[in-house]
Amino acid sequence: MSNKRYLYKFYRDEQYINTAANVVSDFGYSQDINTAGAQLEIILGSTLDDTGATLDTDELVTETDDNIVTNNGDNILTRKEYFFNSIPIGLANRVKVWLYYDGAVNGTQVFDGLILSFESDYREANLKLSVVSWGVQLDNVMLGTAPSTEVATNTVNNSEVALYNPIYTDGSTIQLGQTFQVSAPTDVGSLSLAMRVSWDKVSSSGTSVNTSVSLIEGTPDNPGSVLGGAQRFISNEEQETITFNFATPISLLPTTTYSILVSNVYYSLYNPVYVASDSGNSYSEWQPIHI
Amino acid sequence: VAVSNTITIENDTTGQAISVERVWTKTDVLELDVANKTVKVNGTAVDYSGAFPYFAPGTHNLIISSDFSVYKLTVTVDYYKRYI
Repeated sequence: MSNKRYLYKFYRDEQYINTAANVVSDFGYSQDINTAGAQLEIILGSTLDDTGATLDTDELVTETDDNIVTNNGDNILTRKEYFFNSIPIGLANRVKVWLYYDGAVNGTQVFDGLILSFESDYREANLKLSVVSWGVQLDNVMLGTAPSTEVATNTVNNSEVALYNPIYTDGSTIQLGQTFQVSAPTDVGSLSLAMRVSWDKVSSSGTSVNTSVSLIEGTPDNPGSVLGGAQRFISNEEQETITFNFATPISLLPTTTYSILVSNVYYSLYNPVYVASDSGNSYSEWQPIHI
Repeated sequence: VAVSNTITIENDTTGQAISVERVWTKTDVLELDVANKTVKVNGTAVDYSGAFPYFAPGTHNLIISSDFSVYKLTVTVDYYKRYI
């Protein structure tokens, strides 16, 4: 591979900050065996003084906000603090590294992690960042050895709802919807549904039914923005738990109502997908939504 | 409901293309600085996807596209002449 180039993009609280233009280190990271994540060191060709930190101070004042001064007329500082608002460094800031080469002219992401520490070397006039990959964070389970955490779950499974399309004579379709809430801020990486497909009807074709789930804000009747989605091909005729993995975790907040929408391909009329449900709860019984 | 749209700037020789997706307003100014690797909208750095398009000496096309149904834009390209 020739002409390899790297871009280092920095984020704070999921908000983009900037792209580092002065990385002087070569890209490379190490990972110890039996550890969750890799560590990357990035050296920026600038010091803290070069990075445009802003100074914020508090001064000693009277009840009427008049400054109390020294005999020389100078203000008396009670707090002096530097802020790094527009520069990429900061603990837990996120770093994404993209690689560009002849085989990926528009880049491929090769690292994603959080700043663990930084130190400034005034003799070498540089700034060294230690970045650890997401696997180090305990709530981002990279190694699947421990059971996953249930965020929201339907504990009753006493019925099934069929999803087959097109159901209406005008060719329009339906999808199934179910609302839920979470009790604490949560990143959701996957969704598991008990479901099966039926090949009993005539004219069945293929060996699986492409089924999609999407996670949206709001209710199925009053949908908000789509937060993410995933697809699986369903082929099991006995009910099984099917897990849909989202490409990136979806951040959910408490007190907000979200909905799961399930849809399938247009010609599933003869091969309906059945989703397990709770017949006693609105939306937990997967209300069909005409779309 | 605010709808986000994507503007893409591409070097059609190399295929390098950079895209910015956001909710645009008609007075927005998108500034792409390839030398300093910055992408700004109205002076504020914004996230992007893809690659900064580089142009080798010679004749190339700069392709600007978007998923707007209708749009009007003014394009200014600045470059520095360099001699070997």
